[in-house]
Amino acid sequence: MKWWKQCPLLIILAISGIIFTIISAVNLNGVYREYEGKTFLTPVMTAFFQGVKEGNYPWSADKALTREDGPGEERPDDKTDQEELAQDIVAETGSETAALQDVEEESAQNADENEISEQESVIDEENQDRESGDSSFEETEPTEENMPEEDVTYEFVRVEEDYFDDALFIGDSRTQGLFEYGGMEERATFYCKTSLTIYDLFKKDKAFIKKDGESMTLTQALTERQFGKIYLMVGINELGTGTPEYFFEEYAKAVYKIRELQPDAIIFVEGIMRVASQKNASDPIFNNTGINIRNVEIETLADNHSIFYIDVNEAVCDENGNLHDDWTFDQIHLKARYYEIWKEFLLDHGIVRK
Amino acid sequence: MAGIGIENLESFNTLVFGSLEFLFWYLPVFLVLYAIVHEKYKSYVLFVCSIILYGAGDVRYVLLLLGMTVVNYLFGRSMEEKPVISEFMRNKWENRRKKKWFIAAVCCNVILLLFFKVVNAFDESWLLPVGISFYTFKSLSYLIDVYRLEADAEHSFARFGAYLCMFPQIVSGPIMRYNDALKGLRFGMMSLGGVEEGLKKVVLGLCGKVLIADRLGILWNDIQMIGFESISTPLAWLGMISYSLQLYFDFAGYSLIAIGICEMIDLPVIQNFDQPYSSRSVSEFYRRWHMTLGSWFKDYVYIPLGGNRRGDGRTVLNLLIVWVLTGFWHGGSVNFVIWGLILGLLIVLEKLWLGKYLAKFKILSHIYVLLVIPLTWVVFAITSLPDLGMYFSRLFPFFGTGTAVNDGDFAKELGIFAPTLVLAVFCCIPAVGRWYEKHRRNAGVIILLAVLFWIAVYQMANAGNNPFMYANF
Repeated sequence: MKWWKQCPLLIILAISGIIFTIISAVNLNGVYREYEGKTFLTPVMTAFFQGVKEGNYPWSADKALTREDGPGEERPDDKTDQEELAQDIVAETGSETAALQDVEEESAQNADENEISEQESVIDEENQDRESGDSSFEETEPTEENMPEEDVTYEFVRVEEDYFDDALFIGDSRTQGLFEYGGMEERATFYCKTSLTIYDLFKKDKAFIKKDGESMTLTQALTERQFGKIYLMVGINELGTGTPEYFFEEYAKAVYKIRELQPDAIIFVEGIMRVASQKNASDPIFNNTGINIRNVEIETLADNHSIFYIDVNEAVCDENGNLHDDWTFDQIHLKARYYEIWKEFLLDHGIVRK
Repeated sequence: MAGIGIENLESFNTLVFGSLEFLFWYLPVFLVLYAIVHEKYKSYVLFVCSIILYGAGDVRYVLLLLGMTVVNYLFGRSMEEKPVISEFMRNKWENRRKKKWFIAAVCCNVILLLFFKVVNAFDESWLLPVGISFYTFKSLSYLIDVYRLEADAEHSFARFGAYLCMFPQIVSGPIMRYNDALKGLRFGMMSLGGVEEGLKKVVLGLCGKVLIADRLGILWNDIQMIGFESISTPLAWLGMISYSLQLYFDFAGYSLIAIGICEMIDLPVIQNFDQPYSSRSVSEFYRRWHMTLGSWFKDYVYIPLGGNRRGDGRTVLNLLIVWVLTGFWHGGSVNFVIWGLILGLLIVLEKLWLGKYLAKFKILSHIYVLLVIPLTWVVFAITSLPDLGMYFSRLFPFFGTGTAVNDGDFAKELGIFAPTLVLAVFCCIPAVGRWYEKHRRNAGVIILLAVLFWIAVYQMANAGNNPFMYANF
């Protein structure tokens, strides 16, 4: 028997392995530049398989080359998406006169007002310093007497379950858990998906909402129906990608886009739920320091008039500020029975506008 | 890797063994090296490469492994027959000396294993050294064989080291006997045909582990995430079935990879799993599941205790001893002992009474095995007794009610995992295995294997890219 007849599988695997390696190697400076191996021992072909997973084939156009920020930048999003988002706002509100500018001004005001708001939150001083250092906004504060309607602020009150009848929850797998185990699925609407990020929220190709068997984007869904309250909790999946500043930029944009699409809704921006102690101590990325930094920034969006910051960590964390160890199996998600506590927290933090 | 097979109970660094680096760098380099060196040095290559891989996986316990290799090598040599002046002297002194060494050797290994098992059971931060359950059992089988004159004490330290530490088997078996290994280590001749057949086993094992076991691991993880008290009864059953399949594909897949690598370097092929879920009794199941462990206990515990030759009472006792020890071997916590005890009792029951009915009714006996074995896996899987009780109360809801149960959970999880579960069940059908054995040289089957291999690599590449396998929240 000829030698090559004795080992056909070995030969097939060797040849295909070499082909995959060559494909990867040739494109390592092109389509696959972002898939660098972890160590020098990581097989080169890994790049090909990782690329394929994300839809990057050797014949795909080299998206990276069209980017302005170039390789090496950890931003998960690129410029064009941000521009698209801005354009969306312009197009949908109909006001051609620099809607984005409005957004930015509003953001400045909100950040300002927040500094005088007395919301409780569990943050370390270091973060507060950072926050105030960041704000470079105008310092004019509205006085009580000439306060226009939109500057009236509201306090949290206890509400009943029917409060959720016109509520919408947007979020990742944790909100998905609230949907499945919070006992609110009959009343509230949930647009959530595992691993949803703020970057994907309004992306045109991320039609993550399933309605009557059809997929739709958040923009479509929010245009179709108006809600009374909108709760938003995302941010843990983003810990590994992008800087806190970039995260916040995108977060603010998303919140204002929701504001544009749902002008009458009360928006609750929820602080990201923390992780339990073991994860916090061992994970270089998914830890509570990263979460707290982002929560401080999310909190600045609250104007206590139509956007409110609520932090469920007050209800689900231990005295060290970590998610209760017994309340979670994977250190990240609440066990089913504890979603009740989250719901109770939400009921305690209702906003009723006169 | 979401393995919850045997290796999960130990401080096994999955990033090393069974990783892409292992498959595409370590293994080919090792095979080439092993093939080209002179026969005399093959054992050195295997020994040294195994130690390097062990050290790369978990450097802390490499000294322990080396130490145990030296100690057991010396114990073996000490028990060797020495030339003596007279027959009288031999009988009296030789036997006494040999026995002394033998007892010391056995105690040394057993105490070491016991120590780590117990410490690990009480404090989980004390991880078990990788493969300690396996290499102490290999050492013990070697020492007992030498003592019984069934094997010659190994003179070559490299060959003994290669036997004890060989990387395919160090992490989770199979537990190869010294005499079997010796044939390959002494006279093994690598051949292309052997490499090809071994490679096929490696591919199959890899697919079982990566494409089935790891995937089903996510379902078991989901169930733990929800919390046992909140799963619906149908999900509890689905979880139990899924875990039973996961454990099988994880462990058998792993074994098959190990066996395949051994076959590549012309070590004898020893079977470790033989379609266990097609068994018709629990006793049969454990003759087909982790077979090398079963035969180890039979040869070195059950038969020395008298086996079944000393009357029914003694047989029952012997069986229970063996099974409690088997349970303890799997882990030091109470649930493993309970698990072993339940199996022991079932096997006793079959031996004394149930067996004749099982033999008579074919379908009933299959149903019996497919019901009882998964239930015992639940005891195996859940180390905390209150959690275990909770899981059973969800399986059989008349024991109590759940908290915050979402009845839609079953449909949701089934929707996600049905394809994998169907594939897993399909692969458990004995006829499928027989068909493969018959057609494994067909061009179509070989191409299928190649495709499956790259799908598995695709999965591994993407799991490896994400340092947190479940990092999609």
